[in-house]
Amino acid sequence: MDPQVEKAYQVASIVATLSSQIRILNEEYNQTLLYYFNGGTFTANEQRLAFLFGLVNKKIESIVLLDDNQTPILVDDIKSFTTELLARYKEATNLMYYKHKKIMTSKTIESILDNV
Amino acid sequence: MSKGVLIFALDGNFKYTSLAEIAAKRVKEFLNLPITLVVNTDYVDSGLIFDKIIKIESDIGQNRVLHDGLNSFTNIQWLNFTRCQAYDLSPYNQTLVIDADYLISSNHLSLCFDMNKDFLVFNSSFDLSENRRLNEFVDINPFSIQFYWATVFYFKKTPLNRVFFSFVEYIKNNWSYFCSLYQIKDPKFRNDFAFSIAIHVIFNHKVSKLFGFIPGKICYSIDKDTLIKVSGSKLSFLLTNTIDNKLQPVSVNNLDVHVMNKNSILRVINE
Repeated sequence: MDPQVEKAYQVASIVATLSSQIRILNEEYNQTLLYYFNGGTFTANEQRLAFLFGLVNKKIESIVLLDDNQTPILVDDIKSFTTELLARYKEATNLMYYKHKKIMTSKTIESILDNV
Repeated sequence: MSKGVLIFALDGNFKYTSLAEIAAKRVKEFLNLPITLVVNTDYVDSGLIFDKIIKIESDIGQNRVLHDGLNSFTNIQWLNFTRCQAYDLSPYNQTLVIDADYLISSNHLSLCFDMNKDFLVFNSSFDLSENRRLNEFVDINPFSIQFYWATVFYFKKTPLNRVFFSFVEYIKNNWSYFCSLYQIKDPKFRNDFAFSIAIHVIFNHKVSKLFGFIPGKICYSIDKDTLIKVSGSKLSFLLTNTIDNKLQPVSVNNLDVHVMNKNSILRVINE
């Protein structure tokens, strides 16, 4: 290992490394939550999903939604759109859970970085 | 419609073409798109990475200091005056332009081609270090317009985009005037600033079919940080805390990163 890297590993704080990695993991999570549909960008967050489930329960089949950039996008099959968005949410949160757990149970800086 | 990636690699006393080879291999791996390289030398593509190579004459360069981690720096020639030619040089109807020091580790950018927008840029950024607050990447100065990145952008060949790139060239040719108009203190020409001004004038920052933002944030590490390892989609860095100069190791997975320490990219790949 390069001496500078070795020294950095020795003097770096495990708490600071955890904090940095969790912050980067959050960014990766935010990117994984993004879902693209009909030229629009939708973040698969809890608020959007709750609204969509409301529409599905009301048996509304198609609607215009504003995407993350406030662009109106026609969603002609809300049920399948909701299913896709939920799948994206589950994928992102499962990945986050798995990586978060691995990072938080790591005992050394090397293992934290290996588990990213 | 044809689509592909355009990379500018104008060699001065720093070999941007070597960087471009690394960036291009990652484009092939993660985006699987054809790549065109723009050079100012008689570069020969020995690895057959590029689909097309375009040679242009470069303007006189500027000089800039490029740090290599905390302890060393060099003065390099910065030949950045030709980005406004992207529209004319690109052989594609839909073009993604990336810097040679932008390391792709995901297929995130392939979505630009499906977003039904004519022009896309990043409007927000994510510094890998949590101990820095670099306002220079938020606004072009505290009292002026929003900052947009020219590191990565996407455009379609449309009449308005032709006007956009012509206007970027106009800004470049009248840089001292625009510097004073937009209160830019550093007189060096920067494509980021020229693009920010052009977006302000042409698109008025308004999201429409003509203009939009690449979803997510552009991740970056500054030139005082060091890339120490590349393994597939995983990049490892030593980040510098600019307050106390402490080094913080971090790893990034599945995120594309603008690695400003160009020397460290070459070092890691050649190891």
